[in-house]
Amino acid sequence: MNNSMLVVDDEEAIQELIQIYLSEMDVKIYPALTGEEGLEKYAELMNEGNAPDMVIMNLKLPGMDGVETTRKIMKMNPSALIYGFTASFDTDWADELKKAGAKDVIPKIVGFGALREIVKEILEGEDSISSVSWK
Amino acid sequence: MAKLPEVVLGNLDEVIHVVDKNMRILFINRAIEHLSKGKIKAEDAIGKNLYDVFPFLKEKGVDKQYERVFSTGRRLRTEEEIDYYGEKIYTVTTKIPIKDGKTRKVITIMRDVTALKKTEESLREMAEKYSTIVELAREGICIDDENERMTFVNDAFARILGYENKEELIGKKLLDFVDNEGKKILNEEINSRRKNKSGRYELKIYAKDGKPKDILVSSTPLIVNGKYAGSISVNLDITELKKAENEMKRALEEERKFKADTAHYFFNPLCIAKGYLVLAMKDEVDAEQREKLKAIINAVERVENVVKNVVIKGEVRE
Repeated sequence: MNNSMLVVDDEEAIQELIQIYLSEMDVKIYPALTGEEGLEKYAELMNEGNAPDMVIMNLKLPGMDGVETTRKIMKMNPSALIYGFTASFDTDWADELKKAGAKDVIPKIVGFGALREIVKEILEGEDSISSVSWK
Repeated sequence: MAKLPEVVLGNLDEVIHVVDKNMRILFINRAIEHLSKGKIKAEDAIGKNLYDVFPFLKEKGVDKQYERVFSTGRRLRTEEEIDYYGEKIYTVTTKIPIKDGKTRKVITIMRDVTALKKTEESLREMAEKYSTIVELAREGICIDDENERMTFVNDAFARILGYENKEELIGKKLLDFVDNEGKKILNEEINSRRKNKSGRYELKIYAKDGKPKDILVSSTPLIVNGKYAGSISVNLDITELKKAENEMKRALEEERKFKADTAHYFFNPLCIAKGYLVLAMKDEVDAEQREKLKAIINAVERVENVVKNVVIKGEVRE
């Protein structure tokens, strides 16, 4: 398996759908249902020398929110590739996520098919992911 | 050739004349010609009775003044308003007795202070006008001395601090009407005034009844002879404005939270529903079931659009 991805989202159904939709891709997905769990998982993988190639981060999480989790992961690894995947797009909160280090924020309403295409582009190292527009 | 004292006396702005006990003019300088606009010539007046030359002096009781100087032998300084050949003038006159055992002559020095008086009057009028403006102002105006004690406040400032009688505030300090946080702000501002810097700042004060009020202060230092002498401030009561501003902030925060919650609680389930529906479409389903699934996806997308419009535009529409 070439790529790995950490998905931090408290909705189990979202976790399952991401697994299903991205199953055709060569990506190992690590699920985390809270910010704390995501942080722990990221640190664990990093210590093993297998830091995830990208992180999908929800904003509203029980306990530590997506902004704080992003900030802490960025502190751990300033080159971490984090993308928001949230229902609360186009808000000050989403802007804070970017300020914390997220590369961009993908609205959940784009659907999982579109998310898959975006992830593909990101992992293939595209400079821009404009081919799948959600804005 | 004229003697030096005569030249000097002749060129003075003050009218100077000398009379004897019979009020006969023994000397009068040329300044009288200027004052009377040429109606009286100095050489014509000499030898005549003072009251014949200046008949209006008796009406003003000047004769009594001369009698007093002759009898007491003491100088007399008076200020008069005289109708001088149809023009009202103000004079300051000094009558000095010339003694030879007894007072036999009186030298009079009269200075025309009309211009000075008029300037004083217009300054007084101006001061009254500004005083009216200050008193009618809606803004509270306060003057502090170099020790931050109030030396002047207008009615509006007294009202801000909850005082009916503004005189009660004289001698008090604004520092007595603020909490610790306010003291910190005020002390910093006072230091700036002492460095000759003006300032504009917001301050929470506590009125006489303990009620908190927000004021916007514009303060400027008063420098007298290069030395800090206090400050003058214009104070605007912005309590209601602040309340409205806080209400607005609260309303905006509530709106933001409402939109964020709406997005979270609607988009997440809709996203999940659509995700599974699209997967279901990929399964082996018959044409009829496919059509039904399409209809459900369409319905979900319509709801998605409504929620999107609510969250982004604040409008309930598809």
